Amino acid sequence: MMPATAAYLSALRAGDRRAAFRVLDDALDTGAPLAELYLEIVQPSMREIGRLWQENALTVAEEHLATAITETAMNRLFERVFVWRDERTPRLLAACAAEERHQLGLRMLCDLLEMEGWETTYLGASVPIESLVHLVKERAPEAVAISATIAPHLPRVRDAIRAIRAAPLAQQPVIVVGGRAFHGDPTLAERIGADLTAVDATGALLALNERLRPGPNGE
Amino acid sequence: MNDTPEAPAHAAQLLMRDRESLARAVSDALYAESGERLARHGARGRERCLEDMHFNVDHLIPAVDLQDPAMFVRYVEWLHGLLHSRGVDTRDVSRCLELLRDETTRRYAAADARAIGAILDAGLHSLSPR
Repeated sequence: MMPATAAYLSALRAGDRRAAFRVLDDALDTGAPLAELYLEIVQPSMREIGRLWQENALTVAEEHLATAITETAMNRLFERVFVWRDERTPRLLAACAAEERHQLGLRMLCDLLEMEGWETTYLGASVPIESLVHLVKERAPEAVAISATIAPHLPRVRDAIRAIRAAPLAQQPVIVVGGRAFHGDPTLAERIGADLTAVDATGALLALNERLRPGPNGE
Repeated sequence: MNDTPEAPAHAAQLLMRDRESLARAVSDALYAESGERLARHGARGRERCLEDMHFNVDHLIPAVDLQDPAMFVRYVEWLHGLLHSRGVDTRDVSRCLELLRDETTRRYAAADARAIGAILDAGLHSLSPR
């Protein structure tokens, strides 16, 4: 584990948000890009927090505190790196499956896409299928991202994809799915009807860029 | 035996419909046969047992729906680690799955019970000593 990751994890375990902010601020000041902070400091720390909860080494309250600190820390980081642009394209609409509460990964994806010039609409946790389809019809994004952390939410992801596919749209969006529920089986995303999947936000960003922002030679 | 392609989806719908009563039936059956031993966990233990049964059914549903035994095995292995660190015996985890299999076999038509049983058996197999 990198020293900064260990320090961030230690701050989360102590419930010390100022210490957590300091770790990320210092890393940003060294020139580390947002993706590196998210994927090499924040994400491994939060996975370790989940593992510690699973092993009964952390209470639910402590796990929630770590999540709350991280959400605030990500808000602060994004404020610092955000760049205004007149035009943003393509557009992505992002939602967690109905009843899914784990949203940090999806939020990371949206922030990283925004840094690359995409326009993202982030709906957050537990989005009912009808509301999601309504917004897809209204905004007609080029891509939709749906996240699920645990297997019980997978049928809702599949049903959401089916509902989007059945909606009267001028052009079907590219649908990317992700989250821990997809990690154990690389075929699962395709089986439930998605176009793309990735193991983390950077992978999803690369896959989406490749599909929707091809290079000048069409590669 | 050839079951229709719709059998898993139908079986998953039954599990979703009966989530509450299945969880309660399995929890009650576990306490009926091992109540004395489980009494050490107290009233909170019984509440948690019911919560865990809900969780088992919740994770069984997508695995049945997608006929994906590996998905349920991943859950069972995760659950086993979680409960083991909280002092729950492996045999109680196995017994819950056996009771759930018995209950679904008793309640549902053969094709539905087979679609469910295949997934539960994969989970049980992953807990058996190697």
